[in-house]
Amino acid sequence: MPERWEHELKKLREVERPSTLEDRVAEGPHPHHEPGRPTRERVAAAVVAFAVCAAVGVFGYRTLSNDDVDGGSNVATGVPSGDETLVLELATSLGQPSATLLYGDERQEGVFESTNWCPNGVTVPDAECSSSIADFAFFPPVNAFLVVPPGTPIELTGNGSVAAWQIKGAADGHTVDGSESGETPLAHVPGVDGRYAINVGAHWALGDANVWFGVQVLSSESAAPDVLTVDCSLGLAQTDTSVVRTQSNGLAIQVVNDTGSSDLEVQQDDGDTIAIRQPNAHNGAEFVYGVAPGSFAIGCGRNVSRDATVPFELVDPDDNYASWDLACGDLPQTSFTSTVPASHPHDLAISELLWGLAPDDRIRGAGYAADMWRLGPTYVVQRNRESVVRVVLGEEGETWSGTFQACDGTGITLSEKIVTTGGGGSGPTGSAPSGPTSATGVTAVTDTPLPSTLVVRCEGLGSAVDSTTVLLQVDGLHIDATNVADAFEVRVEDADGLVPGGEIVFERANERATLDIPSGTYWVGCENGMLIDTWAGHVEAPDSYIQIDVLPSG
Amino acid sequence: MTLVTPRAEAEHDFDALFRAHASEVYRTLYAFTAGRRGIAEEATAEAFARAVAHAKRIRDPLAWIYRTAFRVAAAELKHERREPPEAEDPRADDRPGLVPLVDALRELSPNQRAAVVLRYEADLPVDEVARRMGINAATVRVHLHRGRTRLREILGAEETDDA
Repeated sequence: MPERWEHELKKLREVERPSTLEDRVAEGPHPHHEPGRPTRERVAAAVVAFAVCAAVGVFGYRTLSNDDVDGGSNVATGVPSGDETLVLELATSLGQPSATLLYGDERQEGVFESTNWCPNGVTVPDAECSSSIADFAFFPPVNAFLVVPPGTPIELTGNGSVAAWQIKGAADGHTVDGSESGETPLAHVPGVDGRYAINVGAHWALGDANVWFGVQVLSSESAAPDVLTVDCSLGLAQTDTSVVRTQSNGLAIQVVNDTGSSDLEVQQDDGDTIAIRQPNAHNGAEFVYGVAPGSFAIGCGRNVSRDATVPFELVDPDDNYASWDLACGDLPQTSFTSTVPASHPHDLAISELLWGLAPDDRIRGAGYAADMWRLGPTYVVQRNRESVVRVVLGEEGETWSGTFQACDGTGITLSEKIVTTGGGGSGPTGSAPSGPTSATGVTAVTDTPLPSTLVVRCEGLGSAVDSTTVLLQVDGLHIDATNVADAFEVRVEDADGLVPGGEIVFERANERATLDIPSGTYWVGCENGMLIDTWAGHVEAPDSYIQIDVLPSG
Repeated sequence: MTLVTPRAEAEHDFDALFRAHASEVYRTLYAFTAGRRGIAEEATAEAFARAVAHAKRIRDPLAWIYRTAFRVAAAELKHERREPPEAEDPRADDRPGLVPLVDALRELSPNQRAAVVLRYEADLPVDEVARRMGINAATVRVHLHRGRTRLREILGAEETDDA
């Protein structure tokens, strides 16, 4: 016999489709459902733009390959320094036209829309000339943009000249400035923040070419958007900014995709390390990742080649991120116990544990605020925005214990006001910083017993545990879960993505539960369960889960 | 640049597909949207309309229609969260017998609703549910587990006589 909920569910069969449904289908797709309309508008704008530019050069009829269309792949973005000149270099290289934008150490190769090139010269009788023309699928035909300050002067170098030019808004293709005759020099970038496409009709003694560049005018890091929008509609990533600000809990990405869904991949600047892999990113999906500020490249798909990614810089003008890494590099850590009551808030406990802080030193949660629990409550001391001390807290009964690392020369040590527990430990592990040790109250602990309870905290979009190894108890896995953000539940998944012990749904900020599961490897995560597009198990979103080992007791 | 899309091996009979599956798709979307008839109808219709428009690019039309309908409905639900409609009770024109179910469905996430309805109302196997939702079977099982648990809590687990 079915259960009551199944019986109720079968009542759905009473629901009949509306009689108007067939007529509505006959009307065909409705444009207002197509979130990619801006993309189509951009493509339409491109057609208009190219029609205007046709007057600039002499075109042939070869269609460039996709690689040509992608263009600008060697571009690196950065934050404007404000004292550089943007150099437009029109040269010849190996007998072919070359067009490059240079700003400081950054470089962008131009994307050629058309060329007409006569290696023996245009004026000789029966000159053998070759022509080419590109067929771009989107506007602008560059997918990376040099970041420059407003009004940056442009300097022309090389053996080519500018016969005509236009600067267009990258978002909508409208012409911002230009000169069809080239009488007005291309002297500077626009003075207003935004992304622009620069179209240059270049002339050399051996021919001419129509070239595109991309620049993003940015007055300051603070003026950068705090959401990176990536459009995967055409399979290749297109972004709306080359510089994005951190939010309080990391890098925010919004997805546009009017042709389905795809994986997203964010690569570190080294090109080898995957910083983020987001499967099945639908149109409209929004994600936040706790990655440290730095240089990245984003692509649509999985194992995206570097050429198919778009670079961007994650900047932190609002100081949302405190680096986990010490400025002096890796150091051995000193474990300690103390009698600072565990009831003391973390920041107060840290100030009690540390000695020798300078007036301007700042004690901060490591990483983003929402990230500070990934290794246990982790705090750093920042001096001149560099992390010079790191303390990871752990509860030892009713008092705080933990580990301590400090760069040489900071003058910061463990406080001698702390009375230790543990009865004369085995001495500091590694090279302890100078300062009080056993005689003054801080002792080292080398053999920390495995916890009997898995302590989970749901913060931001991530989860964190105090220990990735926990002992199974006679009645199962004990969990102490705290909901600091807007989590719906805690999930402890097995390798198949199932939840053998059942979910721990938050009815209050703190839930204690015992899951009847065997020892083994599990994945712990927090879910905001009522929002579509944000949910995924550890199979789909491994970065959102923490792998733990539940060991048999005894 | 040309988008590479799979080519259908054979023409699809969308009239037959509509007659056979439109009600089932609509019911699933009705559940997915927790009783928002307007969104369910529009998402169902839009999905079929797009399928007809893109017929030659679709290899598996029914799964494609489901996934498209889910996406359209999800976008509408998201839009609705940002700009709530003016005092429209989604249950207003429901049969009275459906009100407890619709209320219960509102306590589930959209994916849980879809998985539960496809599995237990349409009686589809888990693999087929996964295909229509565009997610993997393990994820479907998780949605089912959670959806069942929640429905039991709300509607009760006692057995009934009639199926």
